[in-house]
Amino acid sequence: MTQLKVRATNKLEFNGAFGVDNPYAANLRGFPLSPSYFPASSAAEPQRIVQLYLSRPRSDLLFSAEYRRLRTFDLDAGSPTADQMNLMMGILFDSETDSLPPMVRGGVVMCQFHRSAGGHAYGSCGARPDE
Amino acid sequence: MMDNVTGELPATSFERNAQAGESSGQPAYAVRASWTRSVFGMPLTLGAAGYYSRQNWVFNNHVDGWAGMTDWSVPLTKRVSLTGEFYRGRAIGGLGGGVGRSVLFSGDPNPYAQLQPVNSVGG
Repeated sequence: MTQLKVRATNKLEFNGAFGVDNPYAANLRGFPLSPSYFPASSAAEPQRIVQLYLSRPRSDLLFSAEYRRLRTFDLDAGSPTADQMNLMMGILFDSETDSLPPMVRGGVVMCQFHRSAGGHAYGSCGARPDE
Repeated sequence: MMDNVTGELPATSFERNAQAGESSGQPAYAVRASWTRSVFGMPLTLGAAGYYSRQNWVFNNHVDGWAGMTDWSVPLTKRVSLTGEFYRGRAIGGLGGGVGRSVLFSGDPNPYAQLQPVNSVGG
């Protein structure tokens, strides 16, 4: 993945990225079975990501809107695509102020809403401590 | 040293079976070296890394998984930066390479089926 980051202001950031994961097609031909018995037909999975990242409107808030376009090139077949739209909100926390365990110095709680081109939508929340 | 994962799904959710990486009896090995200097007050970093994973698949099919990686973080101006990475590897489904697959079989796994480590490239 290669990512270009532009910090427009201290609170506004734009990101664009492109990446690819390409198993060799020559390896896939003639060896149709994976260990889990799933057909291995995906020759490459490039993805493009355009992200508008609103960084810290407050010192402890993050907002992000992200668009992803995934394209899979099948062996001897088409190349279906998937479009994803992600809206995220994060809350930064600090153990010194929030009485969290001392092994967690800080981190972010992030909630995500996702909608794909097929009309499927879901939301999820998670926490990621600082490393 | 790293957990020697290969990306395969467990054969059953009720029993724990050693998978190909663990069956090799050794961990995976990785090393990374990088060079950093300050540009526009931000770090410019260039890195290179290597990875090796010995795997023992069914019927004593041994596979040497490996990967060579390079990564970069380059400030272009005070407000614009470029980061990225590139890899070339073999049997690295455990790291997500090859769309998550380390090896393929020519048929149902049996003593006569051929095994093909998946080469992959990406970044």
